Amino acid sequence: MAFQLAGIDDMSPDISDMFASIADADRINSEVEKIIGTATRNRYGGKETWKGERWCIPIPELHYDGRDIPQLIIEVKIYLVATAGVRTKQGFRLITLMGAVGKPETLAIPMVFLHALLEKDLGRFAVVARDAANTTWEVQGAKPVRLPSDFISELTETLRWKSVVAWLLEFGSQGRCVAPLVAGSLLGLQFQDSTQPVPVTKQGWTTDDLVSALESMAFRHGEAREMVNRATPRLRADITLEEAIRLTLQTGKGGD
Amino acid sequence: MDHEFTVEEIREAARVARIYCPGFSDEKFESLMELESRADEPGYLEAVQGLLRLEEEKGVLCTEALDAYEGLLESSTKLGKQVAGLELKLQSLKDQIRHSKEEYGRIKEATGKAERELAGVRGKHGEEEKELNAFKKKAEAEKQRIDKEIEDYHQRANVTREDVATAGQIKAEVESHGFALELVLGLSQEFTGHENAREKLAEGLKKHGALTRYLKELAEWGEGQRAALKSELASLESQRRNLDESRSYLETLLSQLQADVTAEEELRRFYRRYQGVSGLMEHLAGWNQVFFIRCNNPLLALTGAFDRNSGNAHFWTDKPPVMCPHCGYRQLLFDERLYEALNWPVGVPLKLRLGE
Repeated sequence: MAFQLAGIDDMSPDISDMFASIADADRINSEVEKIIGTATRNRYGGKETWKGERWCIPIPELHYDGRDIPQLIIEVKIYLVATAGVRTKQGFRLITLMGAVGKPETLAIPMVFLHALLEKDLGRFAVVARDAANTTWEVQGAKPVRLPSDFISELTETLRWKSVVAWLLEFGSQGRCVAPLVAGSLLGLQFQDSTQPVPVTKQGWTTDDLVSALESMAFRHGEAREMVNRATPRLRADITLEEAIRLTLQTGKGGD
Repeated sequence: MDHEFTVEEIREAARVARIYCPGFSDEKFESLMELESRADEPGYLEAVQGLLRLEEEKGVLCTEALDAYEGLLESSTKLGKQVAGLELKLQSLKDQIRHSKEEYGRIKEATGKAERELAGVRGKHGEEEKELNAFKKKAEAEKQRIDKEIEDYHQRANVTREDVATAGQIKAEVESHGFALELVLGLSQEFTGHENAREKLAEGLKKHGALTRYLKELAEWGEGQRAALKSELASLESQRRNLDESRSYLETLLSQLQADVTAEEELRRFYRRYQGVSGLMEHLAGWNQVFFIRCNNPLLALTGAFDRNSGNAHFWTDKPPVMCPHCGYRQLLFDERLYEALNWPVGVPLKLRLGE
C-alpha cells in the first residue's frame, strides 16, 4: 500500500528495510500519534478513544546529481500505514490511514565516497563527526557527507555480494534510470589512474574544465562562468572540450 | 538480476566515466560488460590471465597473440622440417662415423698385420744375414783351408807361388806359340839330362793346373753366391722400404680419420648445444634489423650492484627504442658486450644472417 501510495510498484522490499534506521523513531512516533489523533478527532469528535496498529515504511527516491562533484542523492520519505479502532458513542469504528509522515531525509553519497566504500578504503576520508546513529566524513570538493552508520554497514554488506548496478536495479525503474550514470562514474574513478592523458581534441568537456580553460585564457572566474552559462544551450554533451571552448568563445563574442 | 544496458545507456555511462577518466571509451565499457558477463564461464579468466602473462612475459599484446600463435605454428612446422632434415643428417653422420670406425678398424687391423709381416720379414732378413755371415765365414774358412792345402802342395812340390806363376807364364807363352806345355816338357825332357826332375816337374805342372782351375771355379761359385745374396738382400731392402711407405701412408690416413672423428664430434656437440635456440635465431633472422639496448637508469645501476635482478634492463628491438620498456627511462645505451660478441660495430643496425 505504501509503495502504491508513493507511486512505486517495482521496488524490492529489502531496499525499504535498508532505510529503516533513517527515520528518527521518536519524532516519527510523535507525529504518527498526532496524525491519528487528529484524524479521529476530525471524524468522530474529540472524546473518542482509539487503538490500532501502524507501520512506518521508508520509501527511497534516487537522483543522480552531476553538478560540481557527482553524487547519488537518496531522498527517503516515511509513509505511514495505520489501522485504528475508534470507540464512539455509536459503536466501534475501524479507520485506515495512509500518507507521508514528516520531512524527507536526504542522503547525498558522492561517487568518490561510494567508490572508496567499494574499494574498502573509507579511511581515506577524515571522520569529522559521529554520534550514535550517524557518521560525518569530510570529502574534498563536497559538503561533509553525513550518513547513518547502520545504512553504511548494510550497504557495505550488500555490496559484498552484488554489484552497485544490481543494487540500484532493486530500486526499480528509478534505479534503472540512474544506474548508467552511477556505473559510469565508478568506472571513471576506477580507471582514473590507469589511462593515458587524452589530448584536448579528443577530451570530453565538463563545466569545470571549460571554466578552467577560459581562466587560463586570462578571463576572470566570474566572466568565464558567465560565458559558459551563456553558451550552455549550444553545448552538446558528446562534443569535445576543444569544440566546447570554440562554441563558448563564439557565444561570448556574439553576446558582447 | 539480469539487466543489460542499452546502447544509449552505455554511451551515457562512458560519457560520465570520462569526467574522471578522459580516455574512457564506449568500447571499453562494452569490454568490461562482456568481462563481467563472461567471468563465470569456465576457463575465461584463465584465458585472460594467460593473455596478460603472455603480454607481460613475452611482450606480445593480446591483439597480436593470434598472429604470434600462427607465427609460432609456422615456426613449429618449419622447425619440424628442420628437425627431420637434421635427424637425417645426424643419421647420415652416424653412418659415416660407423663406416669410418669400421674403416679405421680395418686399417688398424691391416696396419697390425703389415707390422707383423714386417717384423717377420725383419726376422727372416736377420736370419738370412746370419746365414750369409755364417756362409761367408764358412767360405772364408774353406778358402783358407784351400789356400793352406795349396800351400801344402807347394811345399810338397817344393815350388813357390812364384814358380807356379812362372809356370803359368811359361805355359801361356808356350801356348801362345801354338804348343802344348806337355809337348814342350817332352821336348825339354829330350833336351835335358835330368829325366826324374823333368817327370816331377811335369807332374807338378799338371797337378798345379788342375788345382788352379779348381780354385778358379770355387771363386766363381763364391762370387755367384755372393751376388745372389746381395740381390736377395736388395730385394728384401726394397720390400722393407715398401712396407715402411705403406705404414707411413696408413698412419697418415689414420690421423686424418681421427681428425674427421673429432670434427664430427664437434659438429654433434654444436648441434646439441644450439639446436634448442635455433627457433629464436630464425625469428631474429626474420627481423630487418636488431638493436641490442641496455637501460642507463642510474638508480637501477645502483640497485643492480647489490642484486643482479634489480639492475638495468637489457632488451632487443627491431626499431630504435625511445624508452626503457621496464622503467620508462629515456636515456638508453647500446649493449656493447653483445656487439663485441658479434664482432659488429656498436650501434650499427644488425641484420642477422644465418648460414645454410
